[in-house]
Amino acid sequence: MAGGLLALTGFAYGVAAFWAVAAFYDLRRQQWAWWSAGVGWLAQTGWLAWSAYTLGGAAWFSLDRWLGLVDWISVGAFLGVSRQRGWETALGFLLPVIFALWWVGILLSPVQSRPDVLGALLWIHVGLAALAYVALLLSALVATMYTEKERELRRRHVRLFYYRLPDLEAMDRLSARLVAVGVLLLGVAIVTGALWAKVVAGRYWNWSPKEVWTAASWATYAAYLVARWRWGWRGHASAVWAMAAFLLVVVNLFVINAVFPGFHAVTY
Amino acid sequence: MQFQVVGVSHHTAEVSLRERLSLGRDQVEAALAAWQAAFPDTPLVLVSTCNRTEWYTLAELDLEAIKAAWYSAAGIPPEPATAVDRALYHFRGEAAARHLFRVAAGLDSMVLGESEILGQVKEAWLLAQARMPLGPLNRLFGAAVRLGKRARHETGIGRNALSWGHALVELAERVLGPLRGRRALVVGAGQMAELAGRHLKAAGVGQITVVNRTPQRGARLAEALGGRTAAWEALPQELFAHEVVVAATAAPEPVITRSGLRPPRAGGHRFWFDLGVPRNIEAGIETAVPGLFLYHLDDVQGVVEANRRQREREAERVEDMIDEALAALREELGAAEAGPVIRLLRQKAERIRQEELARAFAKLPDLTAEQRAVVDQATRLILNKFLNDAMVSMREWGGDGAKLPYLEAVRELFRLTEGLAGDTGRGAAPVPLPQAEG
Repeated sequence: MAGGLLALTGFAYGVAAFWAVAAFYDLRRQQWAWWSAGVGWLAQTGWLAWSAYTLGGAAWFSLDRWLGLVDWISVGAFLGVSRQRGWETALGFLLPVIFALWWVGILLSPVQSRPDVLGALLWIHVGLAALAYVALLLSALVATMYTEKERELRRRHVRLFYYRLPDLEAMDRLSARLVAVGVLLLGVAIVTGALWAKVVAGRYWNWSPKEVWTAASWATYAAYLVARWRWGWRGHASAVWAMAAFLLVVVNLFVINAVFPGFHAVTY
Repeated sequence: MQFQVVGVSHHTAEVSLRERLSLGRDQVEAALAAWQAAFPDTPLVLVSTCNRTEWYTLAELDLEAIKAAWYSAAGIPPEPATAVDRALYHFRGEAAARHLFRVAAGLDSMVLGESEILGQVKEAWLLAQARMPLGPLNRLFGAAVRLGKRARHETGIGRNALSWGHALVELAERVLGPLRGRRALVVGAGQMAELAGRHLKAAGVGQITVVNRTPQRGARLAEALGGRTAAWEALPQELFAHEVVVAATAAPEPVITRSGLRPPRAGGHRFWFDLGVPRNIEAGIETAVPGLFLYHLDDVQGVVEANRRQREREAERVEDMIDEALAALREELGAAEAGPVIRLLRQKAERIRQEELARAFAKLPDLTAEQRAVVDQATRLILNKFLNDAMVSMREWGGDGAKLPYLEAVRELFRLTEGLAGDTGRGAAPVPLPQAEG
C-alpha cells in the first residue's frame, strides 16, 4: 500500500515535472502538468496519511517522511499559485526540485529512528520547521524565477521567461513575503526546540552544529528582511540573497545532519 | 461538411473595395431578411467587419446566387463585376469550416491573434440565429467560438504587443506590474512624447508629469494628458519621483546624463524609455541607477519583433487545435446526420430479434431462466457485432458531405421509416426474461 502510493507519487511528480517544463514552450502542456501534479499530490496525501496511521507520531521524525511533508505542502501551495493569472508556469520551477527531493526521500527511506521523548513542543518544533523550510524553498524558487526573467530584460533579448513569468515586482514581493513567513516560523521553531531541549537535556542551547547552523541561517534571512525594510533593497540583490541563503538550508538538511549528527541525531 | 463561405478580406482586396462590399448592421439585418425570403430552407450567417465580409451558408446553394444576394445587399449594380469577383474567395466543405476556425482564432486577422474578431463572429452568429433556424451552421459557429476561446486561453496567440506604443506599456508592466496608480514622466512634447503619454494614460497611469524645454508646449501636452508640468531645471529631481520615464525630445545630445544625477542608493524598479534619435539618455546610465531598466526605441522594436515571432509560434499551436476541432466537428456532424438512420436501423434489428426470440422460446418451453438469458445475450452480441462496422461507417458518412447520400441509400436499403420506433403492432412485444432461479 505505502510502497504503491510512494511509487505513484514519484511517477506522477516526474511526469508533472516534464510537462511543467514543456509548458514554458507550449502553454497547452500546463494543464497536463497541473493534473499530473494533482495526482501525485493526492497519492502523497495518501502516503503521508498511511505513514501517520502506521507509524504514529514517529512518522514525522524520520527525514524521508519529513521531506515528503515539505514536498506535499510545497506542491499544494504551488498548485494554488499556478491557478493565478501570470503564474501558470510556476510549477515548472518547483516540480523538478520536488521530483529530486522525492528521490532523496527514497534514498533516505531505510533510515528510521524515533525520539526517546515525544511531546507537544517537539511536534510544534518539527511542524514549524517543515513550514518554515517550505516558505524558504518557495522564496528561493520565486527568486530564481525573478532572476531568469530579469536576465532577459537586462539583455534586451526577450525569448522565454519574459512571456511566461509574472511581473518582476510581483515576484520580488512574493519572495520577500515568503522569507518573512519563513523567518517568523523558523524563529518560533528555534524557540520551541530550545524549550524542548531544556526538558530533555536540561539546557536550552546545546551548541550542536545544527543549532548553530540554523541560527546562522535564521540570522542571514533576518538580515535580508532588515536590508529590505531598513535600506530599501529590492530586485536583483534581494533575489540573489534569497537564493544564496537557501543554500544554507540545503547544507543544514543534507550536510550538517549527516556529518554532525550530534544533538539532532534524533531526526534520522 | 456541407458548408461554403464566400468572402472578401484584407488579404484579397484594398480598403476601397472592402468598403464597397462591407455591410453595416442594418444592411446585414436587411440582407438576412431578404435571404430568408429567397431561400427559406437555407441558413445564412453574415460576418461583416472593417477587414472582412463573409457569407456562410450550406454548400448546396449555387455560388452565383450568393454573389447576387451580396451585390444586391451592398448596392452594387448587376454588371460584369470582374474586379469585385477577382477579390472574392470561396471555400466549400471542410475548407470553409477551417477558414471560419482560423478567422475566429485570429489567425486570418491583419494583426495576428487580435481578439476583437471572436466577438464579431459570435455577434454575427447570434444575429442570424435570432432571425432563422441555422441547422448545421449552429454547430459550425458553436465550434468556431469554442475554438477561439480555447486558443486565447490555452496559447499565447492574443498576448504580447505588436506596436511600439503598446510594447512600451507591456515592457513597463512586465517589470512594474499593472500601471494603474503609477507615476510617469514624459520628457519632451513632440509627437512621439504625446503618443507614448497617451498609451501610458490608457494603461491607467495615475499621474503623468510633462517636462519640456518650452514650457508652453509642455503645458499643452500635460493638459491633453490630464497631467501636470514641471520645470526643465527640475528634471534631475523629477526623474526619481516617477517609476516610468519616457524621453522623446529632438535634442541633438543626451538630456539625461550621469552628471548631476543623484539616484537613490536602493529602491524599487524603474523603467526609462529613450525614444529620441539621437539618444536622449546617456547610454550605460542604468549601471548608475539601481533597479533601472533602460530601453531605446530600437530595443522596444526588438521586443515587438520578438512578440511577432512568439505569436507566429503560437499560431502553429492554434493550427493543431484547429485540426482537433475539425475532427470533433466532423464527428459531431456525422453523429447528427447519421443519428436518425442509426437509431431506426437499430430499432428495426432489435424488433426482429425480439420477434424471433419470442418464437424460439415458444418452441422451447423447457429452457431455464439461465438458458434463456444465455440465448438472449448471444443474439444481442451477434446483432451488436454485426452492426458495429455499419455504425462507424455511417457516422463517417454523416461528417462527409460527399458521402451523405449513402445514408439515404441505407434508409432505402433497409426500408427504414420514421414511426418504426413505436411500431410494435406487427411484431411481438419485447420478451420479458424470467428471473433467474436460486
